[in-house]
Amino acid sequence: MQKDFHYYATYCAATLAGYDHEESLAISYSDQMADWCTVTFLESIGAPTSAATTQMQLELMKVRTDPIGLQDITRIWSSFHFLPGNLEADPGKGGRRYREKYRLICDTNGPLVAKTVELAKGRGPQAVGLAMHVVADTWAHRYFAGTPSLAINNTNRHFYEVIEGQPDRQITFGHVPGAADDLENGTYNGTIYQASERSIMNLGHGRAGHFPDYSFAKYRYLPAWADYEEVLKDNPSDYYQAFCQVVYALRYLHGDVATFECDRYDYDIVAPYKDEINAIINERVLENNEGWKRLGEKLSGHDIEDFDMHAHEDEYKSAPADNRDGTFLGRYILAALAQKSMVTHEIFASGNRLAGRSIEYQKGGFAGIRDYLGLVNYRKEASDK
Amino acid sequence: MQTTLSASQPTTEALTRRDRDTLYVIGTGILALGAWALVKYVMMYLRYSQQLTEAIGKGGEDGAVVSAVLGIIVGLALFELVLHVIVGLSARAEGQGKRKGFLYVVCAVLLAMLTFAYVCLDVFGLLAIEEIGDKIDVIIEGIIDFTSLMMLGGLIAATMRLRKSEPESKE
Amino acid sequence: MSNLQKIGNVAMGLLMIACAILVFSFPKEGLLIFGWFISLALIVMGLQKLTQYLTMGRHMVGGKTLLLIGIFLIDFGVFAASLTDSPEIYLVIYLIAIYAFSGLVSLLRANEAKKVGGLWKLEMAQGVVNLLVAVACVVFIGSPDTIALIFCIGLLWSALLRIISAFRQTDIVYVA
Repeated sequence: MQKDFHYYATYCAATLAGYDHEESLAISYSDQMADWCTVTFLESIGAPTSAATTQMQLELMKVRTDPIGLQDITRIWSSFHFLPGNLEADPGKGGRRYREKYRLICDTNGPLVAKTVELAKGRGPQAVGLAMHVVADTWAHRYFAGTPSLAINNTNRHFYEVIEGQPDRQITFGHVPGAADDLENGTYNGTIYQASERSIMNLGHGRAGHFPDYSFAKYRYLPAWADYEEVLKDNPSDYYQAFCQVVYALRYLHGDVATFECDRYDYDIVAPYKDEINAIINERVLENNEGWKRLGEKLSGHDIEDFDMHAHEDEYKSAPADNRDGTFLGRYILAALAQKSMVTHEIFASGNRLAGRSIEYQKGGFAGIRDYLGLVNYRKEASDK
Repeated sequence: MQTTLSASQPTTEALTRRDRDTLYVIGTGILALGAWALVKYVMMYLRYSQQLTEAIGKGGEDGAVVSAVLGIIVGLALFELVLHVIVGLSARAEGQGKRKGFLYVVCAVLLAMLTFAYVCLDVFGLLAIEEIGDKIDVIIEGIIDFTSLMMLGGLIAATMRLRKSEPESKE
Repeated sequence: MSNLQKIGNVAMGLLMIACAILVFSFPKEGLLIFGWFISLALIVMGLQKLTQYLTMGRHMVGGKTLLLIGIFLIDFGVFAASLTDSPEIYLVIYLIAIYAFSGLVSLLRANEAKKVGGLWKLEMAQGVVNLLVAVACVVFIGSPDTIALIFCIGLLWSALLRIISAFRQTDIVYVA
């Protein structure tokens, strides 16, 4: 998903869930921050780089695609943008290597969605926002995996946009990075075909470019893993579901709902705004920040400031080293480490080595990346509460 | 369709798409093989052109025989090339959903028979030749010919399945 | 490119320079070695593709393409090996074809990178030189020593570009 949903729509959802303006802003900021918190950014503020929640193009240029590099890539993308739907899925074909990648395919309402939401309980708006980013992305990114894999993530010429009142339009993805997608003529950009299994070009939905992130997009295609079965991806419907699920999750985190269950949606609360939301979602624009912003300001009665990734930098940089965890970004960083740690552990515990090794602190003590030491206190805090 | 991440029986449409994709890919491969065959024939001609020219130039019965054999080889090569082009292009087109006439299937069968004959010749050659270097050459040829045979077999099978599942012409 | 990859590239560049010196010093044997090297490289690439097909590609939509690529690479490789037995002219013709093809591919890639605003000059230089090598070999096809020299120059140029590229930023990778 893009800023229109991660920032403005999340603000709307938080307001509907009962959060006030400031809390909603903090949640939506943290949600959108998941698309900006790179190693480069963290290095610039002197923060632990293991908390990176995304990788920009320039970083991916330098990344290794050996097993260690691939594990790093998989940890980031599977934890925050392509949450695996079923770590026990049986592809019915292929050996161990294929099975491991198949099991990383992102899908909605998997066990990890519930774990992600529960992990954010009692952690503050930063963890809440980050969790909502992960939940929302499962709807846009389903059927792709957060690991470089030609066999899972490739798309081919059988890719059609479904537009109401018109014959289905075949999409051919160009390869001109930086060029804007042309909605009028159905010209979109994607990564170039690379026959190598582990090429970065085959990460996530890169082969389909930004197209799966457009809320108006309805399309049918052949996922590489689906044995020539055609999938119809209805983003307008999925985005509405995503919004209603985010509202429900936020109500749980706000304390208005006792437990969080997958596959539940707050349709009733959203119902009065359904037509307005569907109009925003279905509007054929690359990003509908204006529409969601207008709705958010109407719901809360407050102006929504634009997203500024540097908004909380000074607080973090000027704080003493042993107090940084208490700052806004400090809490965000801890939430990111916790999410990455949880997902990596779940993947590892399922017998899958693609995200690397994970060691349970309770059983094995601390070992591994120093950045995760901070998590020990973070978890202690939660258990004390 | 509601896709789930667990294995299930493929639908008829999925099988049709698989066969079409097979035709498209193998059709491309057949075209490439045809181009490769052309390269080999040209290189063989270049290699033996001097000897051939001398043999034909001698005239008489030997010269006539050489000319005739050369004519047959050239004719066969051209015939094979034409078959490759027809089969390759038609398979690609059928792979994209355009129904082609039965001619190309006949051509594919002819090409498969020709390729099978080459494979048999390769096997006989391997048994008859003693020189190691020549044996290796024959093995190489055999691998390529066997590969072509498998591809043609896959192509014919996919075409038959498609015609069985979609009996009406779509052109 | 990581530091390890940079080191690898520099090492490969130095190896290529060593090969070029070898070909120059012993033209007749050098060409054969060059031919064997190309043959081995193609066969290894083909086997890698076949392995990829068997482990992953056969389970994916359009995976047969990997099988065909692998088979063709192996075919090209063993064909190159078979040419080392023949008069060297055929090996030369084959190497000319490989240089011409790779030159064309480099030019196409450079053109694409140029459209993007990415780095294209090195790739363009590689493509132009490869094509020039192919053309020069055709012109001097009757003189094996000259051809060996031309291949040396081509190899040295590739080695130089490889070493330079190890210290330059690589082309932008587009990922959504």
